Amino acid sequence: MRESHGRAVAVLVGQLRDFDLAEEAVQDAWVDALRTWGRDGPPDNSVAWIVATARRRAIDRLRRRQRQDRLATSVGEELLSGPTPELDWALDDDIADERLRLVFTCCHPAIAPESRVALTLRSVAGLTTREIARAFSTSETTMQQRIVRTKQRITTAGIPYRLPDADELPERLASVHSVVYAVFAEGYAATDHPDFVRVDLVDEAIRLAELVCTLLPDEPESLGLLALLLLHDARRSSRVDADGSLVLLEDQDRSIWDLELIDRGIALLERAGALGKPGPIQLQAAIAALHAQAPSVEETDWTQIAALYTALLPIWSSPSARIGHAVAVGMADGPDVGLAALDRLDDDDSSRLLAARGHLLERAGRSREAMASFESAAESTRHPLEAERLRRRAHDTRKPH
Amino acid sequence: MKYLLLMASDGPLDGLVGPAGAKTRAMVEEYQALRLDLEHTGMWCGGEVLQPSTSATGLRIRDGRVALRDGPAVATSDQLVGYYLVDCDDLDHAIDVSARIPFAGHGTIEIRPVHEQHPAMRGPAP
Repeated sequence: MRESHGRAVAVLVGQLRDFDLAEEAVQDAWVDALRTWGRDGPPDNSVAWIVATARRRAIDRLRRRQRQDRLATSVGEELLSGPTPELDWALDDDIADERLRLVFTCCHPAIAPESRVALTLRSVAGLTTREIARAFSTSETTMQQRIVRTKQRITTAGIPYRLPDADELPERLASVHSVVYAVFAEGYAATDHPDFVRVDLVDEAIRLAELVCTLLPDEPESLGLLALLLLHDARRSSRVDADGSLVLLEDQDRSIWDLELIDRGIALLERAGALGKPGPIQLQAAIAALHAQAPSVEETDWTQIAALYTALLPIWSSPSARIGHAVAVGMADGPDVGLAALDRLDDDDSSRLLAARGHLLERAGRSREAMASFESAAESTRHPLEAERLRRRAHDTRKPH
Repeated sequence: MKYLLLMASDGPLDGLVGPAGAKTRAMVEEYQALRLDLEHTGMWCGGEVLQPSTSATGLRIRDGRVALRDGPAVATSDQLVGYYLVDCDDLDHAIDVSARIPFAGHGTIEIRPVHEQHPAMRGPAP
């Protein structure tokens, strides 16, 4: 039902250019559906039915609004005076196009990043405002205001509801990818969440990535993004142990990784690679694939991972990529080389950097310094579970190996 | 829809209103080419470069009396150096035009949509 809802809203937004009216009308149509389908059974094409009904409901609402306010919008006038289109426009291809337009509108670079994420979850994924507010640890009122303002901004700023031109596509698509990744990241390392993983957000991000791949099947970075999310998600069950503590990659029980997800991720990555347009997301997915395929930390192809990071850094220099590169170099060429690479980073002493340093110091046999590094890492993280894991790590370092 | 493209300076104004050197002449030609193109495509609704904010006069009426003030009246208006008024399809279109204004290379363009249906700027209803 969520899926049909999203499709119907996308078509209606396309026709009405009005997010609120589209959502209200689709909600009206669902109420009608409950009554009619209960009596007559569901129609063959439920989306088309919902769209057609919602369209009539929208016209009702516009008429009511027009009576209240003589200043009707041009779209409203068009809709009220124009002929009722056949159900043809509700065919699957058209719906796919409308959904894609909606994705690009919600992820437009002229909208603030956090508002892009909120509106995409609301309008494309069909989450309720309450669900989105809970996911981002903010109040429903705040989230409601953010979504309302974003919708108003789309209308008043004239943000278009159309597919980007070929020359705009790479930048616009990158914005879509970062929105999807932000949803995933929030779910995967959920701040202040007892389970540390918000499965609903992770699933929602994967659904969005799948949607983009279905709508644009030949975009290598989109395929790479879906591959990356699946490869991370394959390790979901091993990241937290029975006590609810976080487990480090090297200590994870690799036998419970989801092989089906790993295979899907690798297949997607191969499909992306065959298109011959490498990019930062595909490189990150390739790194995740090498980890996912390795039987243990020692048997991981660190040389290859270091090479992938070397290719990634000039085009995608995030703090975690720089740290990942230093660790991979340390694992491939010896801890001292890795430590030297870490020292060259001018990032703040983030928890991740301190933990990586502790890890390499330990490998270099400098246990006391390693312990101190893990302890500082524990102090600088804001995740309670992560802090506990790092303190345990510091404690373990004290023991002789 | 119409957009006001405001040219706001981030620093000294040499690039646009400095002495007429060779570099400035080339830049003026760029502005002229843009203006011609906007006219040919029917997007041009207006545009000017403004005199420095020191030439501005602020006016307000209080207690029925006109009070004048020397200098810029709005906090940020000293940064305003010029504007275009263009008729575009949508924000993407306005972004394309703004990216062609040479000023974008050293200042900021604020893309501000015009409230086209606002009754205050329209004649009374027939």
